[in-house]
Parts: sequence; structure tokens; C-alpha cells
Amino acid sequence: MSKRSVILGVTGILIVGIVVYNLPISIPYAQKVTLSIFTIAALLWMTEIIPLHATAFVIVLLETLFLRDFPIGTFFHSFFEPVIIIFLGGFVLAAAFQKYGVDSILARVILSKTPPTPFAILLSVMFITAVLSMWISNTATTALMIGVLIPVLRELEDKRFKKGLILSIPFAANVGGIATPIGTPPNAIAIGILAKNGVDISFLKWMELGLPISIFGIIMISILLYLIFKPTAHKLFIPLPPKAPLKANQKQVIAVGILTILLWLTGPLHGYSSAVVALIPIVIFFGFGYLRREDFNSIGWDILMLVGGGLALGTAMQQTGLSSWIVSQIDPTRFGIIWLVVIFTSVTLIFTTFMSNSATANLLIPLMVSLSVSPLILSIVVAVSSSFAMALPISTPPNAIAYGSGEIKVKDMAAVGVLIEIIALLFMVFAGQYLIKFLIGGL
Amino acid sequence: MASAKRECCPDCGSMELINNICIREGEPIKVFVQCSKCGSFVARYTVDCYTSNKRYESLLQFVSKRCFESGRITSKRLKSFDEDIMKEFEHCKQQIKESEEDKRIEEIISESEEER
Repeated sequence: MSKRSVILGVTGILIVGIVVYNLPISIPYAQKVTLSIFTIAALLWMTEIIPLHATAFVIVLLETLFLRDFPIGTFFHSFFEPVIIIFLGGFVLAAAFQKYGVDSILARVILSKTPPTPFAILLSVMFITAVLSMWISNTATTALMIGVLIPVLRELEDKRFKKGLILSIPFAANVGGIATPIGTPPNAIAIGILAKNGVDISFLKWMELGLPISIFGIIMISILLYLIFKPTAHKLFIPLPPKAPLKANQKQVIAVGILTILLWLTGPLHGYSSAVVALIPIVIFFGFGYLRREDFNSIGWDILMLVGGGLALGTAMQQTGLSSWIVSQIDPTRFGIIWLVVIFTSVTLIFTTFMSNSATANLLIPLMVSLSVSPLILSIVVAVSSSFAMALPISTPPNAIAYGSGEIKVKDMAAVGVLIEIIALLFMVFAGQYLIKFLIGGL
Repeated sequence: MASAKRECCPDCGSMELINNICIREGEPIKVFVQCSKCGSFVARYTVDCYTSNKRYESLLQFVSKRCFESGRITSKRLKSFDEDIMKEFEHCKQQIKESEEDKRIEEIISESEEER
């Protein structure tokens, strides 16, 4: 986009923000300003005129400029919340896994033990992708797994099954991210915003909820892909390079990874916050030279800032009482919980099909926490649903990468993606909400 | 300002060069350019992003080291990744043909840094 278009677009959006501020609504000044900031942020995130993380800074700039009754720390603290540190720890762990090839070793080990039948390979590929994307970014996992499978894809003559195999990777990466707090930004956004509202969800607690949903997603998608892209051959071989013994530094990286994950999972036993545990890989990997300054610079700071911006927006909406006001206009008590789950899962799925799932979570979760009906359940429903939107190449970065292979068409992705979204909606209505209520609470 | 220049051996002036690629775990890829005629050291390049003629595989390497915020941005970047490389390659060849830079490479780099 040219600079001129950016300036015009941003100016237009700021004018909309000013119009919203001047609407004849009888709410206090702080709420009007926040409503205007919310509108500007929503439009900037939907149109992506400026980078998503730049919008995060626009939010904080407008908040500190116009909400002067609040100490500036109220909004700045959002960028260093414990959940940001947990995510940073996850990024550092992932950077070390990638740099020392731990991710690709795991992928090759599991694939080498997979029976050579098409369904076993499909399921195995999806399983490995999901496991990796719990700890490593969905984008990096997709790139790695497609890279591992390229020799197979090149040799595979069954074009229909080839499509299924390629699609299985981004879909598994998207769904695998649900399993851990660091798997995908919407999880962190939900945890961060809920924490600000007095609901602490530990690493283990999130996994107790996220892991079964991920497993359900993997099984459901693998069956769908197998049925839609049914293979013609009964056997499929994956050529893998010969196994090399683990080197000392790879063993050390794995040890630090296992230690960090164990400490994250045993939080209730030792009593240390997951954010404190997240500092361990950061200190060890940078302190002892496993990772260098270039690695530090290439960490996903833009994602961290995007999450921080979402938390800052949520803070303003809570502190000014705007989210309560918006929710009072909807009057959620008119609907039963089932209809609320249907409505907000559908809204999330539609939004995230066309825009970033982090931005969607940033906009919707602050509203969910203010609902008078099941705010906790609905916040998590939004976070989880945002990982199920995968109908188009633009829906998620992993989809875009798989589409870039040139082996699949938009209609192939959409055919399965829409089915997945419908099943996800049904799952949320008939199982997901009860699972959240059972595991985390019915608030 | 854009400059383009074909590299040659500083000792014998030969244009026949060999790229010796050095990949060490945990370090950026380094390319040691050697003259194929006299064997002299010509230059060392540190590679930020390697792209071969198998561009999708190079692209996978490129994206694996980056975090992307949205599918829309990723789609755009991936599309331009492929197109830009070929466009830049053609542009570079054309520029060398039309106005190859006479200065030494160090001078060109230092001038472009000053301009920045």
C-alpha cells in the first residue's frame, strides 16, 4: 500500500473516531473517548492499513493523550503483564528449539515410527504438527512440517491425497495452538484480560481445557481430510534422512525445554507463577550463549506488542466502564447461554476467517468479560473459536503458507475449512461450554 | 540510489568465481568467494536469507524464522517474496548491462550507508 493510501485511510478512520465521539450518547467523557479509541482500533485491525502492532501503539497513544485522569502506568503496564512474559518465554524456547533443530528431530523421529498407511501418516503428520505448535509458533511449525514432507509430496502421484496431506499441516497447526497458553496469541489475550478481572488461569488449567479440544480438533479434521481427499494407494513411504545422534548442545536445549515445561505444568505444586518460570529459558539461553543478539532481535516482538495493545484496550474498557455499558445495551440476559455461545462463536469464526485472530480476540474478549451471563465461559469460547477459523488462505498465516505451495486451490481449503468451522460451532454449543464450566468454572 | 556491479578477483581480475558456503550450527550462513583461476580470497558474505531456484523451499526457510500477525499480511508477503526476487534479479542484470558501477564494492557500500 502506498504512503498516500495509508495517510488517507488512517485520516478517514480517525474522522470516524471523532464522529463516534460526537454521537449523541449520554455516557461520561472517559467512556466516549474509549468508545472512539475502540472504533479506531477495530477499523485499523480490520483493514490492516497499518501493521497490527502499530495499531497497538495507536491505542496506547490515544489512551495516554485523552484519558488523563488515569495514571499512564495503567496502560503502559499492559505491555509487561505476566502473560507477555510467559509468551516471551515461549518465543525464546521456540527460538532455541528451531536453532538447534530440536523441532525437526522430533518430527523425523515420530514419522520414522509411523506405519506406512495413508491414514496413519496423515494422523501422524497432524499429531506432530499439533504438538510442535503448542510450543512453537503456528507459522514456524507449518513451514517446518511442509519442509519435512516436500520429498514425499514431490513423489506422490495421488494428487487428491496430496492436497489433503498439505492441508492437514496448517489445520493441525491452528488447532494445536489451542492446547497451551503460549500456543497462540488469543489464548494469552484471554488469560491476560481474565487475570485483570481477578480470574487466574494457570498454565496447567489452560492445558486441561485446551488439550482435549485440540485432540478433538485433530481427530475430527483428520477424518474429514481422509474422507474428502481419499487416497488411491494403500501404502505411502516417507523418505527420511538417517538418524544422527543428538549433540551435546541439542541435549542441553531439550533439557532446559523439558525443565521449563515441567515447571509450567507443576505451578500449583511449587507456587511460582508461569511468568517467573518463563524467565528460566530466557536467562539460560541468552546468558550462556545458546541464543545471540540476532536471535533476540528476531523474536516476535510485534506479536507481543499486539497482545499488549489488546490488553491496554481491554484495561481502558474495563476501567472506564465502557464494556459494561456496551454489554448493557445488548442485554445478554434476554438470551440463554446456548444462544450466546452460538452468537459469539459465529461472530468470532466470521471475524477470524477474514482478519487476524489476535485482533479479533483483542476486540471481543474485553466485551465478553463484562457480560452479566457467563463471562468466563464466553471469553474462553471466543479465544478457542478464533483458532478454528481456517476457511481461506488469508484466515491464518499457516493457511497462507500452505496455499503458497501452489498445490491447493482456495476451494479445496474452503470446502474443508467451512465444515471445520460448522463442527467447531456445534462443538462449542454442545460440549465446549460444558467443558469450560467443568474445568475452569461457571463464572 | 541503486548500484550494481559484477564481482571480480582483486588479484587477477578474473570473473570466474567459486562460492564456498559454510554452514555452522547456530551461526548465520557464510559464503567465502574464491577466485577459480588464482585461488585468492575475494570476499565473504554473511547470509540473512538464502533463496535458491527452488523458491518455495527457500520461502519455507524464510517464514520459519519469522512470526506473522495475520494471514492477509502473510499472503501478501509470500506473493511478493517470489515475484520480487525474479524482478530484482532481472533489474540487477539490466543495470549491470546499462551502467555497471566502476567503484570498488567497499566504496559503494560506504556511500550507500552515508546516504542512509
